[in-house]
Amino acid sequence: METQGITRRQLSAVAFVAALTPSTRLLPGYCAAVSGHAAWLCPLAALPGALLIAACVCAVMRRRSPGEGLAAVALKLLGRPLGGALLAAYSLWLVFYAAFSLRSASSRFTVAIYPGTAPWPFIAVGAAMSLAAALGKVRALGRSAEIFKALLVLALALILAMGFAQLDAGALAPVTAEDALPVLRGAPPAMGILGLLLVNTAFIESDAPLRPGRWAASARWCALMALLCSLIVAVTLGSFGAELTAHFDLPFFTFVKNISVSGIAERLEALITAFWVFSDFVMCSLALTAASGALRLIAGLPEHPEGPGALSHGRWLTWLCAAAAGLTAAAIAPTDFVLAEYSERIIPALNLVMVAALLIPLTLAALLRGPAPPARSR
Amino acid sequence: MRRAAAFLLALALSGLSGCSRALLGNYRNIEELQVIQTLGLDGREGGVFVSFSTGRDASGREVVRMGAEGESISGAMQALQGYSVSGELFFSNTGYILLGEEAARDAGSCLDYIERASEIRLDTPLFVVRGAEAGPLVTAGGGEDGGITEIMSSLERFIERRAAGYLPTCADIARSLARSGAALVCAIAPARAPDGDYLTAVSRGYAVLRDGELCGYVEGDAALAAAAFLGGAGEKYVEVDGMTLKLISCGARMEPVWDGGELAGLEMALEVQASVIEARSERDLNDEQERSALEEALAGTAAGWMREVLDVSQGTGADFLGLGAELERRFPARWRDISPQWDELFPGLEIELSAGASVLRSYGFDSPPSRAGEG
Repeated sequence: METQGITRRQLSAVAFVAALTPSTRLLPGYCAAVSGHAAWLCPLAALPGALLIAACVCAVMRRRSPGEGLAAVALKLLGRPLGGALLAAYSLWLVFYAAFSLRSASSRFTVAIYPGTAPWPFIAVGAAMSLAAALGKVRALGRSAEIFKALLVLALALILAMGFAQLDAGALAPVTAEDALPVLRGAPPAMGILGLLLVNTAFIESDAPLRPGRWAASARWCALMALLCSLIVAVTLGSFGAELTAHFDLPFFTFVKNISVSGIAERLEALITAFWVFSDFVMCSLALTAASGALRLIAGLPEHPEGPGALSHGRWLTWLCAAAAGLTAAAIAPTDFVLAEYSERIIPALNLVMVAALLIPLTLAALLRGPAPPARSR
Repeated sequence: MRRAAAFLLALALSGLSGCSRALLGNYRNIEELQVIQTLGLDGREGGVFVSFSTGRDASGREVVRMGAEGESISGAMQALQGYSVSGELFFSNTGYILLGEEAARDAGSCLDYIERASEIRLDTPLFVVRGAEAGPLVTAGGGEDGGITEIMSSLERFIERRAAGYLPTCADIARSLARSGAALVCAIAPARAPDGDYLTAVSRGYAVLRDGELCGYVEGDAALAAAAFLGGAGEKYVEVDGMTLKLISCGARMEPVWDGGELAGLEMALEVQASVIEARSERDLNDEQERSALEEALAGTAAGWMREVLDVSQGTGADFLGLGAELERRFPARWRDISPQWDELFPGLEIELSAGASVLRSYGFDSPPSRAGEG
């Protein structure tokens, strides 16, 4: 029985819930701008790259011993100086990503539900909630992700069903061999999102039991997420066409604004936008948990502190990460133009660079050490 | 301690709900709102005239109608907010947007506003008021007892079921403008109601937008052919050879004619199915020759509709039927060669028309007994 630690199903739920925000924010507009009518194929084209990342994570995590997550394996494989430096850099990136996630979530509120308001109240509440989650047990985050997943699947099913009911299939064509290059150019952001979640969930795995079948589970998750992202892009494209989709800041949420359940509800976007807070919360909490855990390991403290005290056993590092994320979020993008620049260019590029910078040396180190010992159940 | 902190933080979330007065002062009581249902936009010298009408609600509140001028749509709306004495104006439930003809000449700017506005949905139907301003219709339509919203609601049902059939929304129009550079918008015209002295609106086919500007109209039954190409014509009654027929279906398709790799022209076909619902001349529809003659007459009429549509489209250079987009979808490789010259090629393109018609039924009344002795 896997009742003590976070289960694989919960890890998958964490990854699913966290992936929804970047997928819906970035992919429809970016893919439409780069690949036109063939944009819906971009997430599927990202699958080989995502599987490669999954294979690297699997190769590294085969070196895992009970109670270890990716951070501990990194220190084990690369040694404290190099592994520590790499982890410190990746932790800083995670704190920055958490800040971007908070700022981006606040923007959805200030645009869709509270037009004209300042983002800082949403940043402050988001940072405080994520701090509470990052201070708590990892399995609590997993359990909450399972609940959020059910709600978000329900909302997504409604959105996709309504989207397909009014979809203009002509807007998804033509797709020819000449679209191959644009489709490949549109694939990196989707690959980055899947890669980010594959890596970040590996950080919080120290609480999870060792079990075989990691590669199959990762591959299945990647395939399902690529398909879901493809459907998200397709319904947006089918509603607005590639040209118009590429012009909107947040085309998926503009599409959601048009959804109504005839005779029952005219405007659902505020409710659905509010549901997406769960995704922001999980993404931000995951980033803070992973970053603070890695920093504690570098400092020679327990990755997931036990025992009482809000600041003891290195918990102050979690406070520090959350405060840094909140302050960075408040300062990072004074206007939505700057935020769009981060969202569409800086963050996706930085994401791929950081995942590669972490995974390539770790994978090489894991492979150079020869075959890994067989996985054992704890 | 931690539980209490988590509880307090979770409680802070209630401040983010749209139904709370706790944070940001966003709370609005529905009884204090004037829920705008129809919005009118008119172009004025150096500005815009915005008018609105609320709908009649279940509590029996009177319809509120008002108009104000501003340098921009937002400016006029702000001015309206200042004039409103009976509550805050709430635009998020806007169901119809009417553009006066002058505003339609710069419809692109109005669509730009609608696409940016967080309050207004893109699936709101848009109408062009032909030859007139939208303001008088919005502020005086329906007279004392009615309102423009009720008129537009019944007009919407009429257009979808008994008139042209295709009712484009702001999203459809913006999408067509983005892809084909042209779009159709439902056209209406102000009219006096026959049974009263109030102002109402009647359907007048479609207005044609090219590059965001009004450039013509598709009128009368020709609108059916345009609708058939864009999403399905309505079950309109048409008069042919002394018979009244109800259209059951009206489908259109296009085939390119290639001369080597060059586009030599297009073949367009319209297929109409109808039923006889009234006969003012005697005709035995059990007789195959009689029926064929009626079908031929109907096909000829339908071909005339299509010809009219194509004359407007090619005459204005507005590919509102999306023929270029259709070619792109079906022949992407050839389209790459055609697309750079499409704007020049399209107005002079040879388009051959054909139409077929079938009369499906005459509601069990093929040789009326009342006319059995005639002829």
